[in-house]
Amino acid sequence: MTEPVDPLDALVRAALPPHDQPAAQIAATREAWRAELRHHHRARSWRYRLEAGAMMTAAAAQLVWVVGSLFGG
Amino acid sequence: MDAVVERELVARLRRGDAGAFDEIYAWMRPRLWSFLARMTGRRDVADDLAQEVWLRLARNAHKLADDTRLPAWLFTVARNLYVSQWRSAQAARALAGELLPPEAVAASPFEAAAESQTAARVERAIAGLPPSYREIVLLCTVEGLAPRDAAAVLGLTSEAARQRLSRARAMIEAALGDLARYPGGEP
Repeated sequence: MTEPVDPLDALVRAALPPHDQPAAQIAATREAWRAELRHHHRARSWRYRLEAGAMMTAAAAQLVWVVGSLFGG
Repeated sequence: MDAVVERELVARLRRGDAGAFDEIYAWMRPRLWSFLARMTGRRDVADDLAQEVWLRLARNAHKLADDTRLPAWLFTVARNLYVSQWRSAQAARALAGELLPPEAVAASPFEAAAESQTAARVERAIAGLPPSYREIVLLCTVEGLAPRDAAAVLGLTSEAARQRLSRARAMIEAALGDLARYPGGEP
């Protein structure tokens, strides 16, 4: 058996329907979360992590080379 | 939404399925945005906050628990963003001091678009509630969240949420007068 709806609740619910945003705003927000989704999908992939790791290793090696060139014998 | 269907949707969101995001965006977008617009009283601020809610879902979907209640999760994020925005606005107002005029009486952004005088009066009555009472009415009465879910969104115990909702209803009744006593017209 369903609970009877209070008349005040029914009045408030009927008077306050959901409204929607303008179409341009809906599309802009959709594009923003899709871009975020793509970015996170890429960032969580092994290939992305391997690439990022390789870049950091290369940068560290370059730094060692520069320091070695400057202060090495 | 059926609980089984909702669990499937959560599983698809966790996998990063763009179709699942489209479904929840279509389902919850008007509800979330209306909630934020009625809380902030401004459509432009609601646009910004709503966008941030969807970005956070995209960022955190992979961390959702299997049994996540999606409306409750989304309203929790939306409500937290609203509270942060409100605090920032209050701080800015305090810093600006007497440069700014006193804050205008809260008005619903939808009052002018209401389809009847009754709807406009109800919009005004809800907009006139203090924010902590307005949010519980919007979540429980308008959005139909279960009291337990609404309490979780607001960080309250179920009993505290029930009491707050009861006081909010009394305020609405007082604001609406005869309209609340005889919604279909006087007997």
